[in-house]
Amino acid sequence: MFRLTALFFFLFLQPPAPADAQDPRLASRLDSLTRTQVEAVLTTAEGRQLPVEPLVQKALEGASKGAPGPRIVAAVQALLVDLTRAQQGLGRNTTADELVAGAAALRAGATLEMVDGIRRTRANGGVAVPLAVFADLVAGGMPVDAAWHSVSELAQKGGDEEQFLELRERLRPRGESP
Amino acid sequence: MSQSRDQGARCLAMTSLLWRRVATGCIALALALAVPASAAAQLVGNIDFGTGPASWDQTDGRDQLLNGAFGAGYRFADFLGLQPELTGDFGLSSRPAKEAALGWNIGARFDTKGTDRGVWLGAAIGAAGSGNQRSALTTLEAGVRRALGPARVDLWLSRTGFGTRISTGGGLAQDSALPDTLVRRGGVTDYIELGSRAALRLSRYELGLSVTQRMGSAAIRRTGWELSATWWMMPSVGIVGSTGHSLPEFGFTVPSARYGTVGLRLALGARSQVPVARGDEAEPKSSNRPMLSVADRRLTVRWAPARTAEVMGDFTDWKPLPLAPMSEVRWTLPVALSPGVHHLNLRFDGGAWLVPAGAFAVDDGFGGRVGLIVVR
Repeated sequence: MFRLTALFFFLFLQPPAPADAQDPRLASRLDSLTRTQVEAVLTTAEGRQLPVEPLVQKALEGASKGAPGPRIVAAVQALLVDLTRAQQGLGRNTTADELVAGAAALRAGATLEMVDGIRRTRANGGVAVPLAVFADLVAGGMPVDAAWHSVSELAQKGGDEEQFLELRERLRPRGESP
Repeated sequence: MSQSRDQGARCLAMTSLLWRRVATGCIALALALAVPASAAAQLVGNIDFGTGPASWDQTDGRDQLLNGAFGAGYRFADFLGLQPELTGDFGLSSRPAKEAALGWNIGARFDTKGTDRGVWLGAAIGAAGSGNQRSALTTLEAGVRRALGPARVDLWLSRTGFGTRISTGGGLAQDSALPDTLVRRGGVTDYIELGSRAALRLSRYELGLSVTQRMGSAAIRRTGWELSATWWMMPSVGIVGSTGHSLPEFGFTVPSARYGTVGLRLALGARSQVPVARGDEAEPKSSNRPMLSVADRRLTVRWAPARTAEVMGDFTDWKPLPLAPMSEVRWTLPVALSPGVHHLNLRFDGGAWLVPAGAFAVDDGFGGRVGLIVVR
């Protein structure tokens, strides 16, 4: 009887993964355990109305870079957290590109307040480039506060994307090793 | 296999007549040109033309030895997450008083797709010998590789077996460095080799060290090594100098030798199809990493001369994609990027994945960095 009950629970009560969380690209590049865990993250992202493609790409990136399965799952989970926070800071009407850039900025050390501030400052302009410039400056060794000060100052002046790129070129010498 | 292709290069260096080397090289070049390099598959390998002194490890080494060898591989598109490669080697040698010996093998190799580390398995079949004294041979090989920045280290184990016992009757194992006792006991049926190779590529310069230990009975237990330095004058043409101690080539009638050579090395694969534009020859200045630019959604890269340039990113589902050469120092992605944010990495000559200047460098979550670009 116990076995029958266990079988019943196994067959009928285990929540199936949504069909759209099963990406064939993952099946061919990840082992089954890693794929299952990544697909669970994708399901969570869908529930939060977050784009899943950046998460799929992060998993594929890890596979191509030879990362072990647990590392891939951890990176995808970390990106989910960053995307979720970026969505909190930037709002639900944010594009996928802006969320990705926001996630990179948060990963680099930006706070939710900073991300929210750049959205309000550039209510009519894109935030992907300013956020990407910030992440790049921090990656280049610039302190978070200093990088943010430069980016937010230009944002408040209404700088366009070209000016943000010039800012990056000015503050981070060309050819600097990543 | 890759190991024997390297040995082939050494054998070429020991050739004593220039015309033979040139003839062998021409065959190789013809093959290289006949097989088109595409985005999905490419010819790989090196061809060496060289000369230098050799001191044979044999007592009757006054015979003039003619020897030529060619090895190449053809790399196919990914298959089940593996990188398949078809390999082939061909060798020829003769002495004035002996019948010419011929050897060949064809094989397959599967390499895992990891960029910084990986393993491979390979197998090859072929034959070697002279006249009616020929023997089938089979080779099994397994290895691991690891890239550390500009350096790469390979370690492999291989077993080569002969279908028949190599004897003194013909030219199959005419290595007089082998003790007579070994031959009288029946010769060689197989041997196992443990090989290692380290290479360091810095801009146009490449240093290589390989050590191969042949294992088995005391008579065939030998250690071979080679130290080489290459200056790549052009992406596919380099000047190479090497010194080392080769192992006897059973079946090719080539005994072991100490040698030193200087020669020309031609690299197969990702050859530039476009003439070098004036002004493009200079290495990008004030930059220690490649320079990326995107105009009209077209991605272009400038870097020091390299044989191959590859990109992988979210627009390739993170599969390495060869960039099309525009000149010796410029490459382009043959397809337009879609507007939006993209992540990518670049690598040259199979080295480490880099973030190019011109892309935002952000944490990739795997202990490295990935480039972020915004395409309009």
